[in-house]
Amino acid sequence: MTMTTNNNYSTGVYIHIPFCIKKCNYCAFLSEGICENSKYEKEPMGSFVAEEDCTELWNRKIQRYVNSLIKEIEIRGKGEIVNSVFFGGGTPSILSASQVNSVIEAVKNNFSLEKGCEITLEANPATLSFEKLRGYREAGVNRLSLGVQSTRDSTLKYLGRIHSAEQAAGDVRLARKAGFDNINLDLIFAVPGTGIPDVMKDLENITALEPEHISFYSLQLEEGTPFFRAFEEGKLHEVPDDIDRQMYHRGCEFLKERGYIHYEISNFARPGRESRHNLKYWSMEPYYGLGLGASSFLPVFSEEGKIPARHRSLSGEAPENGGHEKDFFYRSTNVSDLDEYCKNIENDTYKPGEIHRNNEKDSISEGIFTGLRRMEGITWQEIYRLSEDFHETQNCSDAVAEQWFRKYYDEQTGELEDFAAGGFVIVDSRGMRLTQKGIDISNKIMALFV
Amino acid sequence: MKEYLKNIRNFSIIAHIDHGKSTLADRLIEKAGMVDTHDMKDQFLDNMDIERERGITIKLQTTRLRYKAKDGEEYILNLIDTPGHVDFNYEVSRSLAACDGAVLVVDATQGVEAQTLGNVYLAMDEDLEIMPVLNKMDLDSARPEECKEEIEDIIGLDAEDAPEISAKTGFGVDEMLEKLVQTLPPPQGDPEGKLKGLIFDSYYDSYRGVVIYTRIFDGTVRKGDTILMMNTGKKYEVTEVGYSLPAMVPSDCLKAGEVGYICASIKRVADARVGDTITLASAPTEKPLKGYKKAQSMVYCGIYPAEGEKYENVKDALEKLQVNDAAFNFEPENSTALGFGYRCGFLGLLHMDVIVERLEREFDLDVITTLPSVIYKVIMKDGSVRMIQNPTNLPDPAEIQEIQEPIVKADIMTPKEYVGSIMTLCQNRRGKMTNMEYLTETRVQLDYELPLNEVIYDFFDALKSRTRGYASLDYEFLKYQKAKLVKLDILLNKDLVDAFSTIVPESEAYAKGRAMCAKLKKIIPMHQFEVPIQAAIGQKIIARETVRAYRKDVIAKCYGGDISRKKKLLEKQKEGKKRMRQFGKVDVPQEAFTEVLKFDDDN
Repeated sequence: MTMTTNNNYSTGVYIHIPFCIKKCNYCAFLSEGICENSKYEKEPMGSFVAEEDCTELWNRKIQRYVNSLIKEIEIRGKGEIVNSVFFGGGTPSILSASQVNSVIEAVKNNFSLEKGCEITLEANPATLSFEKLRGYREAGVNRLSLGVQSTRDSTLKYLGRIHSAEQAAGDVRLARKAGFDNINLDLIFAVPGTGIPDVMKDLENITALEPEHISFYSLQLEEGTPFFRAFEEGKLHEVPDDIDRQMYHRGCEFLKERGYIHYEISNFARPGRESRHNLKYWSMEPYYGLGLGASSFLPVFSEEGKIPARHRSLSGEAPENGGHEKDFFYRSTNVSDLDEYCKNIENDTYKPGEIHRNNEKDSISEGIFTGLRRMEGITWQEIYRLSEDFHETQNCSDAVAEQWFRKYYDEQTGELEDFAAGGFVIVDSRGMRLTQKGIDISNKIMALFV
Repeated sequence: MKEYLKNIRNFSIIAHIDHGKSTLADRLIEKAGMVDTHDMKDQFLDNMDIERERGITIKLQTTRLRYKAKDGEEYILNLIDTPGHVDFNYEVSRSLAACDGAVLVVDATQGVEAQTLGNVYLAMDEDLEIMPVLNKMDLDSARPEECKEEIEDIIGLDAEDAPEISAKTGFGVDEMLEKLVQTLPPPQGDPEGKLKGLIFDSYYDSYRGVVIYTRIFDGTVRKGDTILMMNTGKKYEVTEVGYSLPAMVPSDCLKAGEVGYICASIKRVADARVGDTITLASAPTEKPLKGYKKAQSMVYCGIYPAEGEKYENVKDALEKLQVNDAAFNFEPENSTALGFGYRCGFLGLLHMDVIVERLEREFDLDVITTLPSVIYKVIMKDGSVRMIQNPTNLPDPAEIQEIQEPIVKADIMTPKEYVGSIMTLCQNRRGKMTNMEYLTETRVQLDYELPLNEVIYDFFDALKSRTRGYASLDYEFLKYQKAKLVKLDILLNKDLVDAFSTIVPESEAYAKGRAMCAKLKKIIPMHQFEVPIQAAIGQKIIARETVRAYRKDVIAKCYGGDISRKKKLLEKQKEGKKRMRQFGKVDVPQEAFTEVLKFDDDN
């Protein structure tokens, strides 16, 4: 796979929808279940039927949020070129097609959408209908990410999902009918109580639906979730590490055989169907995070509304007339209190909750550990481009870049060689990348460089 | 008897931990002290953080109180505090020797819990008048009558009129003071006689040099006098004398019967050793006071700078600590595993812990301590003798004729019901009983010869837990004795880590080897490869454990571009690794070096 190598500067836009019908037992995302404690819960496999007053109340709450989102887009958008929009959550498909449409319109009006811009929307199978899918498609959504998670109802129930396996499969068919030719399906493995045959069956079922993209990831226990509490109380027994890893590696094999390319630790795609948006995260490309608690990674000048003089992502070339700021990227996170977020925006003020200007070390270490998540790894040149030295010289051969890297990480190269000798990472004249078995201990390798 | 002596009382407070000694001291200072109570920290006498945290007093601080009694007389009360651990028994005994009486504080809700008994007996050895006091009378669970009976039965003191107080609320403290001046005897002595002063404490002050706390038994000492330390033979000119309130207030002189401080431009506390006798160089007294002992290091361990810490900083800190601690000594050494460091000598394990904690807190240093060891005497085949403080330096067994280990004479006093379990304990620790004597119907003294090596790790804790704290322990060096000992080595990933080497009895080598391997398996984190942990005697592997390899250390999914969160996770992981010490390719947490010998099972 090739990364975008064009010199042009394209930004991603992430839009967070912090609402769900009901939070899943493993989920630590910033999201609110709109019908917790309603009669809905008594029939977890049924369709979503909320009580009327509840619906009314939440419709108002969601509309207020959508209005705030649109206003944030208006405040922050500076007409940057955007080649990816991603509705994540939460459950973005809780929004109506017209709500999604109004947000996309706002993005179009305040950014400049590249032709063929990827527009993804995450959806929960319990919330979809053909009309809704048609509406999303017409609003401009061209990639659907469906949270299937499992193809067994007992596992879905255990996870706290509100849909059945059949519903998910039906939704894929509906989405095709509605015109989606780019679909991702999420699948969780290593759910307590499941074994390797269960995972293989899931993969069999998922691939039978012929999605363009599959996210295949191991269940993680996050603090503050019902699963985590159960774990602390000794009521939840994790799948042992070695089984978890067997599930993963056998899953990878299986997907490869079915023609999917393993391009990121947890992501698989048909050739050319890699998620443009997710790759931004792993390639030091800029993105706006809009909405509650969303994270942005942007060049400093875009904060000030200037035309970017230079932009350096892993793949981008350094501009010729670069400025001299040492901190040229910053990471920021929006406030995470819904009322505070809406109130600020309604008062025409946008201020992020946290902001951190990246220095050289930040950029280099982030570039490496995110780049290593890509199976193609990271090249010395990509790393070198994040340095101050490169900024001074603009000279970048593989050899110069590698030499620079080895000097910068002088203390770590010994350990890196050990990992290489152990077969966990491949280090060559172009760069480095994890091996299949290196993925299992990727944190250890990445931690070398932070 | 001189008039002024009648109005002086020199006393200590003796109490079991938690029975309220420090609280009572606070109350006394509040009632009769000469310092502003607003500035008073809680528990005034325990002036080191470590002591505060552990609720024990190690270093003494003397306080002069003024009390106006009901008879209209004003009394000077010198409160001399005592430390509370067997490592410091000698210091306790010298403090008590400076007193004429003692107040025994008993928690009225707990009764006699005679870990204190050790100190009570020390006080009796010094012929002190002991006044029992019942504390914590503000609590509903107080049972004074039973406690009085216990005091009479177990200790043999008349407790009928023991004051009942609450140090916390102040209840009964006035009555107690009244009783104190009536019951405890005034000091004796002749201010015109030849100077005889007992050093019961000393510390280094960067402005004054060493400050000596002393009790004058005879004679008078003044500024400008040249004093002679009778045991060390050193002479100094007195620059200041005075009283400790505990703020230092200079006075013209210190006379027989009084307690106060002396400064004489002394550079090291080792030159003003506790227990030494001060006299005048021009007119020395004939005989020093009895009971002086040289400071003797019993336990050694290596102290090394941790990763990223400077060797020089450690050296500076050790030097500063030594100036203030006559019982602490150190010299440079070198470990293959840990690099350059120091071999340090201590009175015992607590003393070692205190020094290490002070390095960490007061000097903000990050250090690694190795396993504590005693000094072994090695007779070589060529007839030469070597003293080995560090197990790593044990010569090749082929060249060794015999190894001798230090044996201590340990006196254990206990209520009779615990005799059985103490005997079992001592037997397990290779002890030999030399005497058993019923002191009273219920109290027994057991005399043992024990290898010091068996005493230093956790013997005192084991003894306390087996006797619910009732037994007391005192020990002193007796002799070197031949023993069948071997060096036990630990190999990590097949590499010998010298800092883990230890000398153990041959008969216990297998059990210890297994226990150390098991402990290390718990401490050493998983690596991406299997880490074999082996215990060996020479070339022979006697125990083995394996830390299994990591299988999963991966963040499956990153959410919505929240890179900062992932970065924090990785940074945390890296931090964790920094606290490790690397041997070959194996990361070992620093606490492993001290934890490895703390066995979970204690038998």
